[in-house]
Order: sequence, then structure tokens, then C-alpha cells
Amino acid sequence: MENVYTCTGSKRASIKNSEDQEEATVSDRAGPVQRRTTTGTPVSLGDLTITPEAQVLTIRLPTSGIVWNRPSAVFIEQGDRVARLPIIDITRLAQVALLSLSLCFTIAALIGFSGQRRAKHG
Amino acid sequence: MAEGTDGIVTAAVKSQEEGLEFLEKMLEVAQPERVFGQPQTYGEYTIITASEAVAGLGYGFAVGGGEGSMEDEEGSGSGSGGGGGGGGASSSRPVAVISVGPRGVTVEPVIDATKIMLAMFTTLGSMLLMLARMRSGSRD
Repeated sequence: MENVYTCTGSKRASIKNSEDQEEATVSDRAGPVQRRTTTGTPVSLGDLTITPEAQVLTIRLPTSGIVWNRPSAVFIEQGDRVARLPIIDITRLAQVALLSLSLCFTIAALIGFSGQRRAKHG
Repeated sequence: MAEGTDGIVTAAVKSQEEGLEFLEKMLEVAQPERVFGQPQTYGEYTIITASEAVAGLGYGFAVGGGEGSMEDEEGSGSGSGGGGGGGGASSSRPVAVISVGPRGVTVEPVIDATKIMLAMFTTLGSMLLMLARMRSGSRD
């Protein structure tokens, strides 16, 4: 599975620049949990400019903290046209799907089991 | 006792400052440059790797002291003590490869078959266990 980018769009999409992101971050600093989208330094390859985008989840407590940073997309800029290619984490999707399946099965089994017991005893 | 407690408190404050310093360093993981690699060119193709990065850190400490005297003995005694500990972990996992070549720009996902298989076997195991319990429960 792959996403192939071809520059066909006619409208120029807007890429949020790093300064905008930083302003958004400052306003979110009050809470211990922050979720923000950041853009990295654009990379120029020939006539293409590639700008990476990442999503960061930060949980910060007085004596502990967790940072989860994952790539979310890349912006491809060619001339006046900009396209956004999402980055899909197949491994994570599969893990979540299997976990959900397992949870659904467990819930269904528990409901069925309690129904059987109720029918037997009552 | 006061001197001993002061020493422990000073050490604890220093430990906290060091912990906060580590915490700030850990937050550097939040930068986009940590998840996107530098472009590498191989012939007509240029690739950029995209990885997921997770980092966690925690620490804690406690100090205490006390003084007192025995009812049937003369004199008094005091004592103080403190302790602390911390731990952290970080991991990185490749998610996708961005390839720029004659065909254009492609985002090719990196699939970790081992992780998926482990999750699948865990799911199957839990399902089978649940089925077995249900069967044994319905027999009773």
C-alpha cells in the first residue's frame, strides 16, 4: 500500500508554519496534557519542497513526563501547488484493530455467558 | 539532627533539579526533526525515513526524620533518612519511508510483521481462553 503523489491540484493549500504552531503551543502550556501539530524544516529536492508534519502528545507531571511524537503527514510543494500526503501507521492500526476485536469478543462472550447462567438459574 | 536533615534536603533539591533537567532534555523528543531523518540520495531516488519516538521519565524521593526518648531510659535519640529513585525509557520505531524519484513522491509504510503477529496470537489466545471458560461454565 502506498500513496503516490502527483501534482494535479490547482489551488495552493496552506501549510501552517512553525511560528503559528509555536504560538498555539504557548497557549496550551497551562495543562499537563498537550497535543499539538508541528512542522519541521522544509527540504528542497529539485523543484519540490517537502515539509514534514508531526503530532506530539506530551504529558507532563511534576516529577514525570511522557512524550509521544509521531509523523502524521508530508506537504509536497511544487510551484504553486501543494499536496498533503498522510503517513499511515499500518502496524499501529493492525494492533488497535486486533485489540478492539479481542475486547468486542470478550464483551460479547461475557454477555452471552451471563445470559446462559441467568437462564439456567432462573 | 538538623544538620543531617539539611544535608538530605539539599541533596533532594539537587536531585529534583537534575530530574527537571532530564525532563527538559526528554521534551526535545517532541521536535519534528526527531521523527524525520535527513534525506539520503541513492541514484535517482531520495529517501526520508519517518519514525515514531516515545520517551518517558519519572523520579521520586522522600526524606524524613524524627527524635524522641524512651520512657524508662535516660537521654534521647534522633535520626533522619532519605531515599529516591527514578527511571526512564525511550523507543523509536520506523513508520514509513518517503521516497522521491522519477515516479514522483511516494509514502511507503513500514510494516512490523512481528508486532502484528504477536498481537494476533495474543488476541487468538485470549479468545480461545474465553471460549474454554464459557464451555466449562455451561457444563457446570
